[in-house]
Amino acid sequence: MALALAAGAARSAPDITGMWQYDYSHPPGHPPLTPKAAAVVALHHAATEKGYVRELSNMKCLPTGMPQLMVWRSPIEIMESFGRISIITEHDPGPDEPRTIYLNEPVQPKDIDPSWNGHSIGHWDHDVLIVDTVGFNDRAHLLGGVPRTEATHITERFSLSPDGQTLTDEMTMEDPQMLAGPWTVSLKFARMPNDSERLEAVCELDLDAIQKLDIAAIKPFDVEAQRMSDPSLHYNPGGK
Amino acid sequence: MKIARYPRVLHPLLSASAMAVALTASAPAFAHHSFNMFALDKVVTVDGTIKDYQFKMPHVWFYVVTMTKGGAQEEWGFEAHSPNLVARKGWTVNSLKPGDKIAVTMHPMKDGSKAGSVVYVTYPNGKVLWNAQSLNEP
Repeated sequence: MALALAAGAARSAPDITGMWQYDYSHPPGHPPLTPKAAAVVALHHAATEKGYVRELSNMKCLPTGMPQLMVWRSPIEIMESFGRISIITEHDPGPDEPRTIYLNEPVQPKDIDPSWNGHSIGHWDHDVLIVDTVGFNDRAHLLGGVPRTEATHITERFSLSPDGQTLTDEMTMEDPQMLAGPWTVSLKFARMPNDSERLEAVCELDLDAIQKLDIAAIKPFDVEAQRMSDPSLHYNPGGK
Repeated sequence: MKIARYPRVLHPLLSASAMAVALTASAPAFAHHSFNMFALDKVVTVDGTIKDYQFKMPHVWFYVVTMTKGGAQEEWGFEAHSPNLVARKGWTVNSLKPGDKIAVTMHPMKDGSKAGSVVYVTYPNGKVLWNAQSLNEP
């Protein structure tokens, strides 16, 4: 009987699986920055005006990570299997790892290895999927070009419109180092036809662009340039 | 080389507020690179003949031979979004081929070099392939 009730409860959750297109025409607004973050963002903007239009991580095909992977021009695909919801993307640069939202973990685990997408746990509160994500590395950005740190904490409330055609991700980002307070944005996704194809978008290492890059000039605001300057942080340092 | 030599269709310049919206809109969702090198406040159309079409990552590029008023040939390069994005707007690996006569409506480079970010491509029969989201959104 208990099993039947549990199965019934699972079936009553809204079906958010499928292909979704982020509405990028409505940008999420401006974050409340700490002075430290404002300084980094200002450096980045100034460099952009001088022709810095691609980050080193982009040239190296590193992931963009959570939450940026949610807001590309290309679709996301949400899938559900036993005990988890997965979100896969389709964009350049990349490749981003799939996001996994664990539905059977009531609390965040200890000793999380910092990662690009962090560790997400979620549960349904009536018709709203509430997702809590921590455990980020410091190599990616929040929205709006704000650097992310290992202290970043993101909560999301996913809800479906009554007609099932619009998915809203009300996302609250917190980071005591970068944000002066919680920053809540409302991301809208339009449902795509069920037969929408997922296309390849493979990123290829741009050695030519990397060779021409002035690493020292971008080091103050580009975390990958900082890592390139530190041999202990190089890729596979023990193997060299 | 001044872009103004190709004024076949020159849309009114966008207002400063529309520009700000366009730039902000592109910020959270820019893909391979930002669009800062392109003059997004300028929309220019050039006519020409396709020399090469590369439907590949990270951006679709095609090259067009145009004729100046003085009768000299020039080669322009045009950038579109990645294949997966433009495929959903009707582009295919065979959309353009060398010898095709087309018109390209685009945002030219700020530095005046002969390249631009495609807004849309128009075929002689009137068919239009959009690349940009709109005239003021790349």
